[in-house]
Amino acid sequence: MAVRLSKPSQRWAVVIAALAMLAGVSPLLVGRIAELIPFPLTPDRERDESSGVVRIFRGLQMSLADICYAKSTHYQHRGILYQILDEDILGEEINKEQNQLTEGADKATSPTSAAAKPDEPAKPGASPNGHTHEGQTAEEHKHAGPRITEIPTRARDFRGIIGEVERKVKPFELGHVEHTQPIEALPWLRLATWINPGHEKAWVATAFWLKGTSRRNPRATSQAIALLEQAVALNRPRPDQPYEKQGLVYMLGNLYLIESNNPAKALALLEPVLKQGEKDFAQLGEVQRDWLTFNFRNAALACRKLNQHEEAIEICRRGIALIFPVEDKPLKQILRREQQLLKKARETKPPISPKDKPA
Amino acid sequence: MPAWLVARITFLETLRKKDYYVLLILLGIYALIATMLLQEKAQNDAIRRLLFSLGLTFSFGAAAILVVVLAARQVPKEIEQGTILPLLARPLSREQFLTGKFLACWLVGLIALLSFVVLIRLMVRPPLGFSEILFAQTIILKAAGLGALAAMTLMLSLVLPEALNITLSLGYYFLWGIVFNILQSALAFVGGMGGRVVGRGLYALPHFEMLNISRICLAQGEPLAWWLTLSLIVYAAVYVVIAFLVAFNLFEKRWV
Repeated sequence: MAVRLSKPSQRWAVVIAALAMLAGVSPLLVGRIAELIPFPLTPDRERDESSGVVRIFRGLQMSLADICYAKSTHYQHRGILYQILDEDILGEEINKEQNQLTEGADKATSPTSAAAKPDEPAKPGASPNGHTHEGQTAEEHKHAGPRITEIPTRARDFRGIIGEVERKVKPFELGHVEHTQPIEALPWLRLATWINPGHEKAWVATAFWLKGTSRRNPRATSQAIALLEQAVALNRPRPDQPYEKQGLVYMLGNLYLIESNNPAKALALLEPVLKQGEKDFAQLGEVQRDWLTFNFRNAALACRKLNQHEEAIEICRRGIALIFPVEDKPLKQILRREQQLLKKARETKPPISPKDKPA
Repeated sequence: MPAWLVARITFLETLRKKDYYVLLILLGIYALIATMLLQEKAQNDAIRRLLFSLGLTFSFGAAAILVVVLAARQVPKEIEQGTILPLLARPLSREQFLTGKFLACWLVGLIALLSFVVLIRLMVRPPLGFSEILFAQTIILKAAGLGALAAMTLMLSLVLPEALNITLSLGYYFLWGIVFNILQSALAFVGGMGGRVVGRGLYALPHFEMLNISRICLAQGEPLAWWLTLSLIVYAAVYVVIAFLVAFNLFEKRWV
C-alpha cells in the first residue's frame, strides 16, 4: 500500500482521512463493547466477578477504607487498641441517640410536657448513664468498666519481663479510657469515604461526629447534611438489587428531622427507602434490618411532627409486621402514643360531616 | 520475499534471547500454584473464576510486554550496532525492512500468547458456564490487538528513545481505557463545542481495551456476534496500516 502511495503527502493524507473516519466510526464499536464489558467504574462494581485484577484492587480499596475507619476509632482511644466487637463507639452512640429521640419526641408532642418549662436549657454533659460525648453534649467520655486491651494485662500475659517492658513503653491503661475529641478522627473517616464511597459506616460516623462539633462550628449540621446528601447520591438503589445503605438514609433523615427541623423533607426521603426495605427485607442482613427499623421509627416521628397521626400509625404497623417475630419496643411505644394522639385529636376536632363539606 | 527473510532472521534472533522463556517460567509457576489451590477449592466457582481470570490477565499482559519490548528495540538496535547499513545496502527497501521487523515482533507475540493461554487453559480449570467459542474469540481479538501494538511501538521507536517508548507504549496499552473514561467525563463536565470536538477526537486513538474481551469471556456464556468480532479485527488492522504509513514516512528520509 505504501509503495503505491509514492509521495509522503499522499500517505499523510490517507493517515489523516483514516483517523477522521475512525473518530466517527469507533464510538459505535466502543459503545457496543462497553455495553458488554462491566467496566470497573460502573455502579455495580461490587458484584462484578469477571476480572480477577479488578477484584484484587477492589479488595485493596475496601481494606484501605476499613483501616482508615479502624484508625478513627483508635484515635478516639488515645492509641490503645480494643477488640472491635468489644468496642463500637458509633453503634453505642446511635442506639443511645435513637432511644433518646423516641423518648424526647414522645415528650415533645405530649400535651403535658409541652406545658412544662419550654425555655429551660439542657444541662451540658447530662446523660442518663453518666457518659459524656462530644457527639452529644460534652467533650469527653469515660467507659464504666475495664476493657480488654491489645497489650495483655500481667494476669493474662505469659511473656513475663517482656510483657512488663511493653506495658511500660507503650500506651497501656486499665479501668477506663478517656475518648479524645472525635474531631481528630474526622479526617480518617473522611478519607475512608473518599477511598470507598460505598463505606456506609464511615459516612454515618463522619456525619455523626461532625454534627457533634456544632458548638465550635456553627455550620457543622449543614456540612453533615451536605455530606450525607452526597453519600446518598453516590449510593442510590440499583434495579433488581436489595438496597443495603439504609444507614445513610437513617442518618440524613435524622439530621433533617432533628437538627434542621424539617420533618417533611425527612419523610420524603424515608418513604421510598421504607418501601424498598419492605421489598428486600428477606435479603437484608441483620445490620441493615436494624437501620430499616430505625428508619420506620424516624418516619413515624416525622409524621407525628407533621400531625399526620394516621400515617404514623400505618408506618408503625408496617414496621412491626415487617420485623415480626422480632419485637421493637420503641416502635410499639410510638404506635401506642400515636393512637392516643389520634384519639385526642378526633375528640377535640370531630370529623367534617358530608353535608358540611364545601362543594 | 526479503520482508519474510528479515522477519525470519529477527524471529530466530529473538528466540535465542531469554525474555520469552522467563515469562513462560513465571506463567508456569502461576499455573502450578493455581492448580494446587484449585485442588482444595475445586467446588468454589468464585475462586475458579478469580484464578482463571488472573491467569488470562497475566498471559495477555506478558505477551503485550514481550511485544512492546521487542518492537521498541528493533530499529534503534540495528542503527546503534550499525547492522542496518549492510542490510539496506542489499536489495531491500526500507518498507520491507519495517514489514519484516513488524512480522517478527507480532509472530513472537502470537507464539507467546498462544503458549501462555494454552498453559493456563490446561492447568487452571475454567469457571462454570465457560464458552470455548468466546474464549477463541478472545484470543483472536487479543492477537489482533498485539499486531496493532507492535506496529504502534515500531512507529514510536523511530522518534522516541527505547526506554521512553516502552514506558509510553505499555502505559498507553494498559491504562488508556481508564484515562479515556476520565477524560471523557472531564470533557462532558466542561461542555461546549470544544469539549465535544476533543471528546470525539479522542476516539481516533486506538482503544486496545476494546480488543481485550476477557471480562466478557468470564461474565457471560454467549459468544460475541461474528460481525462484531470481524469489525474489531478490521479496527485493529486499520491501526496497523496507519502506524505503518506514519512509520514509513518517518523512516523513508531518515539518515541512518
